[in-house]
Amino acid sequence: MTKPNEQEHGSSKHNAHFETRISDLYQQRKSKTKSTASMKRQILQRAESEPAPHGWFRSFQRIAFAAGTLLLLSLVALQSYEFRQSPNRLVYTSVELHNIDDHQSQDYTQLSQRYQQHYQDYLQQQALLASHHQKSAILTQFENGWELRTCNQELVKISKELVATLQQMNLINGHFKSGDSVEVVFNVSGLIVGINPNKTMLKC
Amino acid sequence: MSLTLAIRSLFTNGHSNEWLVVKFAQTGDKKLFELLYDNCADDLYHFLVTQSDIHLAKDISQKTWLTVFEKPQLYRESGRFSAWLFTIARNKLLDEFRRTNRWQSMTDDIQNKQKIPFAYTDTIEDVFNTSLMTLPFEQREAFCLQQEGFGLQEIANITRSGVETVKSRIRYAKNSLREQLEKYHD
Repeated sequence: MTKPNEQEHGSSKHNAHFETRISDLYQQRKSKTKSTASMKRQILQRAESEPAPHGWFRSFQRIAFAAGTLLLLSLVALQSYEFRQSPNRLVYTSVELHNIDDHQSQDYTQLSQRYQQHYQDYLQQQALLASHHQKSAILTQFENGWELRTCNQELVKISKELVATLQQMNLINGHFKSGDSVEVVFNVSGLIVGINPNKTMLKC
Repeated sequence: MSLTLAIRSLFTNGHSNEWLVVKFAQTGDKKLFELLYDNCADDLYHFLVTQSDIHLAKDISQKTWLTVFEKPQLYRESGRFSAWLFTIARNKLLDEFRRTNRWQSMTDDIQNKQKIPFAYTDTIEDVFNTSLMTLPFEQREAFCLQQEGFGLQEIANITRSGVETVKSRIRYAKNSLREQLEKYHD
């Protein structure tokens, strides 16, 4: 009894032999079936009567190439012509330099001073704006007036006379004592235009 | 001409068919076409004879070569020239079969041929030829194309079939041939 491997080996050998055999038979058959010289002659004769393949396309390619070259040369020639002509077309612009006197220097100093003044005003306005935004404060009363302390440790002192004036103008709504949380209302110029009680206790 | 073809032609003895067809498409030089014809005409003609008959094979062969002559620019460099050539030929052959309603008559012929017994005077070549011609069209063309050196994928492309289908057709063709040849030996 033969082993499976030997059987497989024998089978593959047989297959290989068969493949070779049919290939040989195919080639033998093929060698007896060849195209004839007359077939070739006929095809070449018909091909001769045909125009060359894509003759028009190659002609077009040549024409396109020639036209492209001509265009390029024309552009180069035009550029060269313009370059040669360009010196005559130059436009000159004369610039006169004037002297700088002391008057201008003084103007500059004044301008600098005005600038510094505006800058100081700007800083004041910025500080005012910052305080305007801070409305809540803790009130402390003492003999000469009130003190309003914000959470940013800023202190606004209000004199006794101002407190009295505000009270006369009914701009202080309520009776306050030291330690109360109040809302201070400023106008756009930063002046106090009212002091109101703050319902929520300010905690810093 | 692509770099691939240029390099390939350097390593091959003479110019490859792919180089020839590309160069022919570029230059229209008829000598290049003649070289292509000399290289492939016999293979194509034998394939067509096996798939039809001598008269139709001559006609289709001529039409195929004229297509190559007129439209070489249709060849794509991604594949072999012979695969492109055989594809054109096969399409023209099938068109002719459809035009003349010959497909049905060929099937009938095959069925009749299968009934023909071998004579004692037949040689092994005769038996092979008869067995080959009695194969169904698709099996025969798949077998022939394989014998012409085409790979499975190329055959699938030429016949517009799947690779597995091609494999099956070749296997059936070889089994039939084996059976007939073994009968002859017995």
